[in-house]
Amino acid sequence: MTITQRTRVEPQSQLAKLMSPIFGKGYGRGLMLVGLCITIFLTVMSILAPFIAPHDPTTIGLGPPNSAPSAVFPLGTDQYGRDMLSRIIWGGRFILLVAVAAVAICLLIGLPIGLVSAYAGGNVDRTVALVMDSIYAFPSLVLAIMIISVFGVTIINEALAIAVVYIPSYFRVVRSQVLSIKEMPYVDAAKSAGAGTPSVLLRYIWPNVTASVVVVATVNFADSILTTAGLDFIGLGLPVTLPDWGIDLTYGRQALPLGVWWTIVFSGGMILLAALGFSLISEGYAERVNPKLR
Amino acid sequence: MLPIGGRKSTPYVEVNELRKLFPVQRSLIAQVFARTPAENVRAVDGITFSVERGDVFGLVGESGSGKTTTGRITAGLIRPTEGSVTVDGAELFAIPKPQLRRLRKKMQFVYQDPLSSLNPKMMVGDAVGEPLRYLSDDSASKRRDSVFNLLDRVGLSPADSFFYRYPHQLSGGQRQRVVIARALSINPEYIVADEPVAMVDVSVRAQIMDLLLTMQRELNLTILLITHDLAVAKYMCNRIAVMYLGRIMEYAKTEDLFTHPLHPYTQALLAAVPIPDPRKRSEKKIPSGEIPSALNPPTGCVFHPRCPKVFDKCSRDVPQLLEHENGHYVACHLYA
Amino acid sequence: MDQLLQVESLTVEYRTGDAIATAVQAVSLDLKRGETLGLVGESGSGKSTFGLAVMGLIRPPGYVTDGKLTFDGTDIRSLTNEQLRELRGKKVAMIFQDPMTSLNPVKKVGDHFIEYIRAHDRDASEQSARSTAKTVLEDLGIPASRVDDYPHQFSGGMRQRVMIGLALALKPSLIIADEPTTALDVIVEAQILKQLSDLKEKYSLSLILITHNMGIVAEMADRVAVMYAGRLAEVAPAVSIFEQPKHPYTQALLDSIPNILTSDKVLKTIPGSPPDLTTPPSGCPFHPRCRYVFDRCRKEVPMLIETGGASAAACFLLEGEKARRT
Repeated sequence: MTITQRTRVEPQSQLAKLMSPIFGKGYGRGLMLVGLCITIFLTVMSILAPFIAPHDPTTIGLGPPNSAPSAVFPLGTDQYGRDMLSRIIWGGRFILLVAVAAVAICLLIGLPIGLVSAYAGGNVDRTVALVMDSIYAFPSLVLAIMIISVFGVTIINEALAIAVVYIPSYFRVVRSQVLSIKEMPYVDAAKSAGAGTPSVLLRYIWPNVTASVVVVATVNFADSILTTAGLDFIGLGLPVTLPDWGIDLTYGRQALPLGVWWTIVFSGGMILLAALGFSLISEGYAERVNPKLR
Repeated sequence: MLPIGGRKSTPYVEVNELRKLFPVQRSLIAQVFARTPAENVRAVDGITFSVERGDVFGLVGESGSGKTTTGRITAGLIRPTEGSVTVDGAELFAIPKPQLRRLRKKMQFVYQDPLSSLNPKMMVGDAVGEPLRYLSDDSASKRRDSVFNLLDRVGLSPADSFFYRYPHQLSGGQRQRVVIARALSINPEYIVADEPVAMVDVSVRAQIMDLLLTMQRELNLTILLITHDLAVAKYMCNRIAVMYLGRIMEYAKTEDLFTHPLHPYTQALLAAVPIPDPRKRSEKKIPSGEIPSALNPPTGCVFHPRCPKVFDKCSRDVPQLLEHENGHYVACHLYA
Repeated sequence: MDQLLQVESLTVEYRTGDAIATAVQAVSLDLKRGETLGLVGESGSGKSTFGLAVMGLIRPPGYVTDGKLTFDGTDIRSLTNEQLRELRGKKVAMIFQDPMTSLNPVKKVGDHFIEYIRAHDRDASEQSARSTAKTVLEDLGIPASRVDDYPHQFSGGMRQRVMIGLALALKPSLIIADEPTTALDVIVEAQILKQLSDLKEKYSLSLILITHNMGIVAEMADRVAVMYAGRLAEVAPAVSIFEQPKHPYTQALLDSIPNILTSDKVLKTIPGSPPDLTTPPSGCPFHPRCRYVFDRCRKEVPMLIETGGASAAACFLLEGEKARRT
């Protein structure tokens, strides 16, 4: 009466389960790998900046101002004679840090609110959703500008400004998932097996929500990079002297009519690359996970 | 209380005048500004029956009959609007929480769709051990051993291979076995099985039905079987109650129900079931129309609009469920 | 011509990223005019795919990789999309399982008919299409006044009747019904089946009834074809297939389903479950579960062997029998 299974299935650790979408077939894998490579490269570059940058990025007059890429200065110099290569290597730190902080805040706040509100249901949930929807309607850059102008520029402030606008996205995604999951018979079965609310949330609802969160988080990353760069661009970012892709983008724009293409190209390119890296991870992950979800 | 003809023991499950009304959902605005009271779906409208220890009792009916809701109430999953359910002497919805928790260990619910009643992110072994985790004091290693035993018992061998699988890696029949193993993990006395084979392949149904019957014999389980499939009910149950629109129409020992069905609805059901034997093709008398909405059930006997034997009393008075012959009850004015 | 539909060696594959599933493998079946063929099988048997293939409705990732489909003398596979659209509706129509998702919830029932009729006959006026709709609805026991109602205003059984009506609107000669009553309650199911029977008589239709329910097939079919894992296991007239099933799968299946008329207290269970079509068993697909399995079954795929009386089954056990027949 029983069918013997010939292959033995090994237990999978949590990490393996999360990583498994990477190691499989389909174009998703390729996208994710490329995205990861880019992201890891940029992260390592930013961390090791003090060790790998050939010059100090803030030292002016290292070379002739606005000189084109050459053997001495592979990416040229900006209008103050600073080495572009070093500025590029250092320039991602602020932006990436803000992005990490923003996503962290979102996760810490948006996720639990989404989980609890949706699980609680009823009028409480409807009200919270209403509030979230109104925040969601706000354009992120405008809100960020408002917050920064009032509270000043620090990593935390920029991260908060971005996070505030993104929390509703997390909330929505988590909430819609939880709303349908909590009606599933397996949640009911858990309750009748005696599981209390914390157990139900942690072991039944949350694990079935994670996949979508990864997608939102990576999109969030990409967007916050662009937003931070945007803020820097309009002068609401870092102090002007520090190296930053967004600031260099501003200079680059001013310098372009002079025929100085390297500043704008390299700084703009890095911003795009960072955003692309995260987007690819998101796309690739979504493609890998979705067919299985079906 | 339904007097059970000829039985001396106290029934294991007693359901008395059970009623469950579901209010129709309205939007926030409608709730605040509405002038009329909320409408109710009368899912279960006055059910009384009892199940003996060791019975396999069938609740048979079509959609909207209230059988699933009744089953869920008797398993303690939802509260009734009125009426009581007593399991092993304890009144389910009137006892204090710690006692209810202890009682929960004796009852388990087997869901209809094995795929959606198993957590897709949880390994089979963990899923089967969940009731033990929350409802027993066993150590993790003891629980693990129990799970291995259970998996073997329900035919999922070798157990150590199935333990680490995920639901999507199993076939429908295997999943249903996992669900059954999970239900049996805490040694319950009472199981409510909701359409246990409806979502299983035809060639696998007999396996699952046999598994349930074997477990029932070995563990002296009391089973409440909810199904729309009369053939399944006939095979598995020793007593059957036929439900229609929230009420019991007829209730008897299986052989009696099938050899002389009394209620016109039961007769219609039996006539309508397609028989896998072309030699038995016959002209059928099928009632017209469909099951009315439970929002606004017909007056008097709920079946009267479709009943071939209707007369004027039927639309006025609700027939009571009365004993017609030994152990055979029917709610119909024809027999009153 | 007596044969309305001739299917020769039909093979349909589904290609998804990782794997290829052969949903239908070398299936040959015929249908006579006015006949009701019951196509029986469980999940993965290929019965629904077969129905779709006859309608020319196989789309990527599904591909008809082999076989000849002849309907009323026309080779279906050689038709252009235009011609196929002509065929569908006017000659062959299909009824699906779930009327909820087959009908457009924002369109009135009458409009479904009008759109359908005019799609096939551009000259038909809205008036005439509407009156056809009303006639058809009346035929099915639905008051003509309901032609302006929306699908959600109908009960499940009535919606299915609407579907049947749509299928009949253009007076096809063949109707393929894929699990038409699975989503319905028993009594409504009996009503619909009876109605299908009556309509079949009235309009001289041929019917392919696809289902997993042996009871329905016993009630309705003249001939029965049993499919398993994409292959044809057995074909025979209804009475003989139930009285003397030749294929071990058919026998096992009949022995395992409960029946309200008999007092069998022991059903014979079939071990295992239907195979995964991306990795089907070698040789005969049923062999891992067959009570009579022997060595050859694991290596070779049995061909359909005629067993007399317009019956055939694909099983090596029958080879000896054939030789013994006069």
